[in-house]
Amino acid sequence: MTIGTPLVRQDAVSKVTGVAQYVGDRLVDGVLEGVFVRSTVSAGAVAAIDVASALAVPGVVRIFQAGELGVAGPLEHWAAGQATVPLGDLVIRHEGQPVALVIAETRMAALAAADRVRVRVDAEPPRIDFEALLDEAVEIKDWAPTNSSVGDVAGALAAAAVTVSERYRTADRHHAALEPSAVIAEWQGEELELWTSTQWVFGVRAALAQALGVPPERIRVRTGSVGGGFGAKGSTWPHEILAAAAARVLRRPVRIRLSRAETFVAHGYQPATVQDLTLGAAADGTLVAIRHESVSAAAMADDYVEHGSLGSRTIYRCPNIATRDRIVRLHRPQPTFMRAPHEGPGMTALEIAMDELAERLAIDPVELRLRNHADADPTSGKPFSSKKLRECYQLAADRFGWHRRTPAPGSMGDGRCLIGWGMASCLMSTFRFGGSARITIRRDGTVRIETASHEIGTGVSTILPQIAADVLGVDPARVEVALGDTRLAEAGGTFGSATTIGVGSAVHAAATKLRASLEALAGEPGLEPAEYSEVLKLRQLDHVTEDGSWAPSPTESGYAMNAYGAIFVEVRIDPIVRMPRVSRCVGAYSVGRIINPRTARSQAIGGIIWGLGQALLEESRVDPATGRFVAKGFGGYHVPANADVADVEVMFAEEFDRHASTLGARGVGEIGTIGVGAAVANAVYHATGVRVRDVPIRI
Amino acid sequence: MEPFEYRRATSAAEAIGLAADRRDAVYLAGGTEVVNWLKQGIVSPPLIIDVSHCEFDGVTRDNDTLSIGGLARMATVAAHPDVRAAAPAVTQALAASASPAIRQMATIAGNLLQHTRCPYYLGTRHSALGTRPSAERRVPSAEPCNRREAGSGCGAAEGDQRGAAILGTSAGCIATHPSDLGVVLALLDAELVVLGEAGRRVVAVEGLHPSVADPGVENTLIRGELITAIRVPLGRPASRARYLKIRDRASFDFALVAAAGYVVVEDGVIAEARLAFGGVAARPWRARTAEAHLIGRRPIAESVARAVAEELTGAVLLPGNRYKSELMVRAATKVLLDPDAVP
Repeated sequence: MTIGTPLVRQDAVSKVTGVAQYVGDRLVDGVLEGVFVRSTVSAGAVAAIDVASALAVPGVVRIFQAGELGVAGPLEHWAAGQATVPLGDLVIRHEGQPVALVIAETRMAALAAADRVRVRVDAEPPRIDFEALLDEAVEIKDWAPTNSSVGDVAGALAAAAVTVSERYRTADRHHAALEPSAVIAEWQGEELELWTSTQWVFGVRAALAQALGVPPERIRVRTGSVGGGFGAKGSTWPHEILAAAAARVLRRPVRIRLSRAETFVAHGYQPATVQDLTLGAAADGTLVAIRHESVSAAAMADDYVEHGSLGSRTIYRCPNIATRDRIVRLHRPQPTFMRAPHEGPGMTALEIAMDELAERLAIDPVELRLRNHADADPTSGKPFSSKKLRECYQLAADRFGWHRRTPAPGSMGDGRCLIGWGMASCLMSTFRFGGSARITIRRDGTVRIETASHEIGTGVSTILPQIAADVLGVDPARVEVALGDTRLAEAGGTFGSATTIGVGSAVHAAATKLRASLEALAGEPGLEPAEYSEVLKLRQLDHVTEDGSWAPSPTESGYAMNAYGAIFVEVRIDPIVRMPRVSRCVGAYSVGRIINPRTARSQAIGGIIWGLGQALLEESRVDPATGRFVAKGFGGYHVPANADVADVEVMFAEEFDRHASTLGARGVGEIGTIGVGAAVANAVYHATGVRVRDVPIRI
Repeated sequence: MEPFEYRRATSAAEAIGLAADRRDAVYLAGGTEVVNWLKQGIVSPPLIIDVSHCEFDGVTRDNDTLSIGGLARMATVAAHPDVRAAAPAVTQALAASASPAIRQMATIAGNLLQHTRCPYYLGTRHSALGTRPSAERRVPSAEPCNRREAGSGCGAAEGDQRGAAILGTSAGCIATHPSDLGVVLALLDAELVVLGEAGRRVVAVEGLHPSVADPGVENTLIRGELITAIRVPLGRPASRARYLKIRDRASFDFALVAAAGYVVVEDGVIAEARLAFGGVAARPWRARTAEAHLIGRRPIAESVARAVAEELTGAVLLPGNRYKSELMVRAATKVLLDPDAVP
């Protein structure tokens, strides 16, 4: 059994020694370099572009302007990050929008030329101020319902013994992946090969096929190691489409590598939210009503809804729940999914509100949540596929030492610092995408897995061999894996914490078929793994290959599926300086069966650290005059450093979710990020008596 | 980045000679700052003179003075036993600066000559501009900044002010100086030994920057001059002073507000006080008004708050940086009244 063992990441050594190849590292003969000229104006229209001095820079090949690249739109495929065609017209909808694409023989020449392009803009006053425009929030049609209603919230609130009704805010945040996106497009006749740092090669292929008017089978999309994505590389963005389009016009390979600054405007971000939450409870703490209205900032022409109220529909038993998610259209770049979308911002608001309710009722925060534990989804009425949230509260609370907490704010301290303990529930909807995989065993006994999944740093290239090795009974070191290529078996995007479920189950299916084939070839059941090579030799076969796939079955749509958890944090606050520092985090998670405790633990710890960023550091402030994001680099946009991360412990509930996937697993990639912002805010309240409802926390 | 000529000097005299007839040259030491400027398009010099192989990088102590070579690395100075023993606030300030990797490369003189991290100064490149042509050989920036480009305006004045200065500001600039070390050096009345074409001169650290933010004057060095040494007077101020940096992130972050200082208490009242702030002005801010106000007061938080309030007379508090006045009180209170607990 290799499932359940803490195998070390297959890609660990190559990453820490610099051997791992990223798309931007690829050497391509005759490649041209593309650099965008981007709008610094948030609204208006391009009046004229003077390229004379730019074209004079030695090495410049071409400067493309709007409408010159033959991209068809709108980009309707859901894999496209935005529907608006890049360089499609002269309208300026947001800062950072490409207004020209400079192509040159070298990146230095392209940069120098881009600096010399002069753009005259007829600027218009942009819509910038999110909060001032909240009255203009609109509800749009989206992939998930933007509202829900069960029971009679107004009536229940009128009769509630206690209510909490407050406004909560989360900030604009950027993905801040270490590897800035890069793309290389090369045409051979009518065939396109595109290397790009992406979380979804098949998505890029589908979006490009539509944008370029090319059948998808003529497009091959590949990726190398992906240096973090967090959602920014989940969709297809303008640089990918325009690199392919420019290469087609120029009949030469084109590479575009985004600068760090460009990553703040070129492929989305998590939009700010303003959330109005009202909780009503009986005197014993039983929730009688939840109203959650979330509004997120959005682009002018493109749709993205941060479904802030999603978690409130599901997490607690409550007969009366009404939720709504709306957007305010602004002149800003298109937002997108970011670890963890929807519940990431939404549960922050809900779980601070729950802390306020616990305090109002003088009930322990964990006890309040236990009293409202849902045994079925309160909005849909569906049973949960598997849920070990009670165990999570218990595991984490025990490990943390929660029973030693004294409830009064400011009542705990070590003589030097104020100490605060806070906690939150965690919930994230489970996404499941179908997947397929091919598996081959060679005569020498080595095994190869081929599937168009991706190694974005989460451990996919480690757990897939582990799953195959488990089924086949072979050493996982003898199993190699090929990923990130649309020539391989189709797989969904590596996002939504969905890869283990979909691709993992497909590998399991393929390996199971392969084992059966080998047994059939041997003519006897109970074949020993050591005998596989013998069987191939006996049958004079070089290799045996099987394909497997997995898709969510319709019968399981009768279950509500989520990842769950409980997060406890300790903050220490110098009573004079009053800057909160997190000294301890304990999280326990219910995510189904754990395939690899090491990589799962890393995902959960990384998630918690990601949440600490939301709690204390991360905000992309918007310039009130221009609408531009102020910080365009890691000097101004702060993610946690090692010094911000003290002791983090994670645990997993014992679980096998037979409804979620063949493997019994759900997703572990994002749940750790959820609830941290609220737990820290609640701990700050416990330490100081200052109630914070906005993250990042400033006291 | 534009092409440039690179010359390596092996002595201060050689470097100054190379720069003598080249008014457009830039010195390169640790490279942790100048390379950023090159990448941001803040400077685009035709000639870069690498002084990192020169030998004014030692740390020496004689009776009452600590002498630190301008090229000494931040990490070296922070770890130096004489520095730790005689001027612990210097070590505190250096240890709180940048990241370990940067401290291994960056030099002491370069630290003092840093430019502001005001986001409007750093700017956004590769951008549609239209109306404002760039200065020659500089990358156009989208952001208005008088310091970056004279007369272009101050983006921070009506923009994001979280990092902006509240003291010593001018109509044209509300930038802050980013150095931690400079705050301690200003506190300790340190001096700079400066070598140039005209010879050697000594400048007070407090005199390195204009007293009121002048976007046209980055520092008071004459073109071609090198800071070859920093002299820190030793004695009670150096041994007593502590440095505290308040920042969002626990490391690798510039100060929102920093304070350096100490008080000597005799007969229940403050008999001697020094106080300086970082993150509040376009230079290290020696708080002489507050120092004077502390004398004769009781060593309690209220005295510090009042002294800081006096220092802030004339401060320009904007909606986005008003909080800094409160952080100054917190930082000063901690460093003056609870120095042993300053990390």
